[in-house]
Amino acid sequence: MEDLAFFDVNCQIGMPMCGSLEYAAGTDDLLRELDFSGIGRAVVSHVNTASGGAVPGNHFVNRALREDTGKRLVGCWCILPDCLNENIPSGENLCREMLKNRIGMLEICPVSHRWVPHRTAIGRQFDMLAERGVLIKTSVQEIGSWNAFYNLVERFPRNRFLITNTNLWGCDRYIRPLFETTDKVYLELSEYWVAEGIANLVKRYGADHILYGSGYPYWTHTSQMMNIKHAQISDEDRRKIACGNLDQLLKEAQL
Amino acid sequence: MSEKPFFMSNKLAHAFWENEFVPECPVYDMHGHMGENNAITFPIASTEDMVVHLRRIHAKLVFCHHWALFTPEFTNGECYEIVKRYPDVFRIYIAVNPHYSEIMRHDLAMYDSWKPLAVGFKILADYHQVKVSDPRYAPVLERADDEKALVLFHTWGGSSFDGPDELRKVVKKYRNIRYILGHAFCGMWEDAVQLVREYPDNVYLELTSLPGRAGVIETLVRGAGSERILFGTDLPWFDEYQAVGGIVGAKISEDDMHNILHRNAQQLLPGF
Ligand SMILES: [Zn+2]
Repeated sequence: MEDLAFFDVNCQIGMPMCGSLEYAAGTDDLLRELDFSGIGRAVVSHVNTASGGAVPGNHFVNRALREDTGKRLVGCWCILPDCLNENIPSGENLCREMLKNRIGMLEICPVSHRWVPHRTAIGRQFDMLAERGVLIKTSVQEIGSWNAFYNLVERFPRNRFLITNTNLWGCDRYIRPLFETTDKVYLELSEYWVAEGIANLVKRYGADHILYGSGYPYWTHTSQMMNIKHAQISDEDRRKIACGNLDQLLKEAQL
Repeated sequence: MSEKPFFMSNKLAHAFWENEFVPECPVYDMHGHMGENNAITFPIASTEDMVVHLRRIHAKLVFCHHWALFTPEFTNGECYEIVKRYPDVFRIYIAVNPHYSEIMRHDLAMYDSWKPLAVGFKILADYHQVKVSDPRYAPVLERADDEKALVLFHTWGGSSFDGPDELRKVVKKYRNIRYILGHAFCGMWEDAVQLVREYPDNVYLELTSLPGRAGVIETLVRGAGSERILFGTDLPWFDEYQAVGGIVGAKISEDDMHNILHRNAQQLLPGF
């Protein structure tokens, strides 16, 4: 039964450096976990990208995608300011390489990777990504704070940002002002558990900016699937959150 | 996909996937709150909205009102008035604030008259910043011990107020209380399991904020046994469906799921 297809926007592969009760060391392990949960497809980044750096993280993402012969995975690379000359494609070449390697979106980890997301550091790159509509993921922890995320959105009003891992203990006061004022911010649901919260956001702002993400391997796939399944929203909105919005965003990225 | 997903392979998960509620599996939420907590914006926090949410999944809730915990001017008597309106849905824990012995004395004097809708006490040591072994809690703990009452403790891994070392002192001293360890010492799973193994007759691990954390439900069930685990959500903080999804999507048996979602609580709260 495929009544509601799920496309996970926030899934991580690899062996967490500090261990974890659950993890998927390789592609087969991850696909087995997706099968258990009934997740059709997932955007995959590497679990140690923040701690271990963008270059090894991207390397292991590439390997995972090569091993995914059924093409259920889409990659997410991590980028840095290109003046650092690290081994990450830059300029127009970035998009060409993304397309070639089945990379659909990007992430940034400024706190762990010791740079500041100002125009001075990454303006030219972000302008190009805005032009092409590429979705950029960051977590509250990796951007540093909600304040830092607001600054990012205000500095780069044309870029599409996905904010993930928003903290269990309530983020409505952070996310609602963003939904009120910009259509470039997307919310990932792994840590948005507030009772009847999904339906409430949809009622206020529509479903187009809300995306299912698991946060695996630290969070399960199943708990938020059940929440979405029974949220009091239309089936069309449910489908958008479970997979449709992500499909659309990936399609709109001009790589 | 090579194998059937959880909502096809286990009967209970399938039932919850396909239906808003499952008649043979009512949900007993042993750790909730009530009312606005104006430090956060909740979509649903009024008594009526919470009742609608709970009835949708056929859940019953034992709560301790936010205001009773966070601002002592709001009394446990006012909480009792709320429960009286929905006795089929709610029970309450009496909020205990160690800084106000007068209120504590008053509430202990009223306790008998609030039964059976009041089922025990809630201790929130991390927030009130008084260790659970502090003598200021003694009047409540002695009474609970005499009556084998339920006491829900907020617990958290690494806390000096209600972490494993502090709770062990209390459990050792008061042997008859039925302990509900809220959040199961979040993060210190081995310590939680160990305390249940040491005191298997009267210590329960409670799951608020844990379903959805990968591998945790499995670890606690393996270590402590599902007979010692109670379901909870901190409602209105977390959605009942999110938490139920974390239980029926865990890699445990359907028997374990029934124990956690209702059987253990039904034994603790006969007639509810
Ligand atoms: Zn609580």
